[in-house]
Amino acid sequence: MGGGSAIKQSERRSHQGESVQGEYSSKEIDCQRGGPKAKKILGKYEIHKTGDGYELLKGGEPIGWFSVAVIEDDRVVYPLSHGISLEVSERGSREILISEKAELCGLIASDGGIYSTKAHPHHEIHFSSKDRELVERYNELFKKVYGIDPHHHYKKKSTGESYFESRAYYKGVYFDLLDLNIKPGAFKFRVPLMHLDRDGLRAYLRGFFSGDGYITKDGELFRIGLQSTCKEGLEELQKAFELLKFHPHEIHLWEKEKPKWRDQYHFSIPTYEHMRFIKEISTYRPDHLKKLGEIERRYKSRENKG
Amino acid sequence: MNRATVWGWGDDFEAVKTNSEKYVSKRWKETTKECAIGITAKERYEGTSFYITAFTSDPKKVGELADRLLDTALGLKGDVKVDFVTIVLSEDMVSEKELYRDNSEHVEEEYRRCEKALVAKVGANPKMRAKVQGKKIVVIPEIALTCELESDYANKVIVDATDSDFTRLKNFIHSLSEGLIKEGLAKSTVGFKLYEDVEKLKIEDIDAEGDEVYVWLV
Repeated sequence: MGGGSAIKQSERRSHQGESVQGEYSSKEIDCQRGGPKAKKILGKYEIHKTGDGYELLKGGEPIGWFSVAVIEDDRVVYPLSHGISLEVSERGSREILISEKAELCGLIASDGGIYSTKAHPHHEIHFSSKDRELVERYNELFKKVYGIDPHHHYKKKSTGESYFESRAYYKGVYFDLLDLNIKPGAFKFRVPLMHLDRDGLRAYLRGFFSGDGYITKDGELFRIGLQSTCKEGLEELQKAFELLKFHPHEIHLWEKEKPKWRDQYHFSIPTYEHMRFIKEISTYRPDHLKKLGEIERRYKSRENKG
Repeated sequence: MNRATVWGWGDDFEAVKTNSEKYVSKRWKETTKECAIGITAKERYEGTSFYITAFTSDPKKVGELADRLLDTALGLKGDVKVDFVTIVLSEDMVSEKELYRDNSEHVEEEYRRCEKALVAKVGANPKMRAKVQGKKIVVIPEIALTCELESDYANKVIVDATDSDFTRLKNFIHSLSEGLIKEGLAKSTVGFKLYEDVEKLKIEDIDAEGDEVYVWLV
């Protein structure tokens, strides 16, 4: 009964025996190349360069050692695994998501799900869209963060409309995402604000916007916004924008007059912040990209006219 | 009132019929008079949010009705995302109170009146005077339109949609109604109702293009 050590059994249960390694974004470098200073102090924390790595101390006591560190003016970031990094600054320490994982979480929050229910057993992580490009982007991110290729499906409804799906069944991945509380219940989502630095916030918003964002053309001008049936999630998206120094408008109910089974809420970004939105957040949806391109052309044309 | 969500985005398409039938078999009582099947969805290319509600008093029809409504919604032109399909069982004939009988010309006139009133409201706003002086004011209010459809298959079908462009909204409702009629879920359009409240609408954003000032109101 049972074969192999407890560690191997755990690996088998978590990752089905595969070696799972996340890839880190290109800006996370081994700082030996950059020749950092021997010691950096950030509040209670000290980072000491040792022969082959970096020692982290808190209040003078060693708390960890890392082979790789990204040293910035006001923080140090240590890549960990599965798309998580440890960020140490004067404000304290926290685990943050790398951009790829943040974007993946944004996509799942809008058009995906994580399930372990009667209808969806086997610890399922799921994403579906009418846009093949979005599903391909999701698969690319999933592979980068977890080293796993999800299963691809192509679903057709009887009317002939087709939808692309990506499904993965991995307990370890399921519990990893569950811990982040990105989908706390049916038809709900939350933004893992505590785990997002500025790059993470932008990436998460890009992922979410690629699913549930909208760009409407009103006359000759455009409106950029996000919508959802989950008001609490939208409030956290607003907070995410505010942390990036945007000034999103208030959240509104789409239809105010009549009570509906599940109300639909939305908020928009002021027109004067559209160019910033294009530069810092943007989208992966093809139809969005066309409209953002048009917004950019109009803005440049206005600038040229003075 | 008994209410349940029988399908959500990410579920297998076939689940809507199975789940609806299961729910009805457990919850439909002798006192139940009517079931409302609600689709909550959005068309994401143009940013139109919409609801379809079909009413029936026949428990045996609920599963197939839910399936065909979902099919019709997903088959619409554009990028449609259906968030949920919900079932509500009631001991009243709720559909008898859902009456929307204005014709399309009346609704169009009503919208134009609202548009003129909003232009005047924006022009009279002291905070806006400097921004709009000498320019044409283009108002973009958020509006909702409801359409009542007669049906042989269901007791009634109601379609609601919200958008910031009246023409786009009208066209969407027309397209959705045509889809329901083509699928045999509705027979014909009975009437409409426009929801707009000039007094309650507030200026949310403003931008200028050439000699026009665009004012978004919510």
